[in-house]
Amino acid sequence: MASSKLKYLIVACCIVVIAVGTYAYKEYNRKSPDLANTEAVDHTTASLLIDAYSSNEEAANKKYLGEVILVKGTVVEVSNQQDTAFTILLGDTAQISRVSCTIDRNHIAAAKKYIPGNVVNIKGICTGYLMDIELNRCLIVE
Amino acid sequence: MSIRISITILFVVASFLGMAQNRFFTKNASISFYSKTSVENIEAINKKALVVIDMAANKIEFYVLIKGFEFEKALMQEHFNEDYLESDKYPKAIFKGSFDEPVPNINITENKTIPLKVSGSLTLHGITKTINTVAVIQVKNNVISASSNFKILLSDYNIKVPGIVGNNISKEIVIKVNTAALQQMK
Repeated sequence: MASSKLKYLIVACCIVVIAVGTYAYKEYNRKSPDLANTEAVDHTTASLLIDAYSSNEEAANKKYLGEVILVKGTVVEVSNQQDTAFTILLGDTAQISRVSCTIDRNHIAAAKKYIPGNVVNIKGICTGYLMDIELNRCLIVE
Repeated sequence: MSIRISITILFVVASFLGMAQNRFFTKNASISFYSKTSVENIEAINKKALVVIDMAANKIEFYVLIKGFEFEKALMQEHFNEDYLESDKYPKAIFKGSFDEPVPNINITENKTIPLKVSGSLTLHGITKTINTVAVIQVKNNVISASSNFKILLSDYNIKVPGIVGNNISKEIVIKVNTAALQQMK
């Protein structure tokens, strides 16, 4: 009887160890998710985002830094840095800064059809403000 | 503080634009860092750093957003931002330095590699420390670029790594800066 209980205990322990190990392995090797399936926490325009950052960067960071946001704006420039950083710049000529959207590698093909003058919605993670407001892991939302 | 930093960035670039000769910049510099231990190697890269080089005044500066560093593994990126670099509190790293010797005149049509000693200060995680390194300015096929490598100690910047992953992360981090093609300010 005692031997039977011990067997169950050992099996249960093994199951727990395997489950914990599998979870830890998957968590350790987890990749950053594609934002196509992530809901944006805020919808805004390129002009409003640039205004927010140029008038009060600290307040804008509290609202947007690290968040997935959807930005609507006019394409000002498309740049492809050695095929490693495909970037679409949104903004208007009246503002010095731009919203610089680095397109996720899985979405570059879909983004290549856009040219300056097009109005687009781009979803990405806001990483902050240097000369431009930077969005990473972006994709065009049709 | 961050408002002042961004106004300073715009002022620095705008003032360089006013006196453009021998002044170069890029908004697409790559800054990467490497941690190598016997347990694992960790690497992250940010391809959107701002680098400004004023060869007439012998100045070099770079600005990089901490949340813009991409890791292979999401968990590492989360710990890097939330626990080690506290990027909500300290969103930028800034280097301001100068060349220790005058930058020689550069002829864009003449391929050349120019190593120059640089000294300056790196502000990271809210702490500013002196950095001495060598930057290499390269002219190749009518394109000017610059690169530099240097090492920092995590302890210098009060970056604390929990004991459980203490053997996974090197105490000394190698930082590589590569501007690719610099644009001349017009």
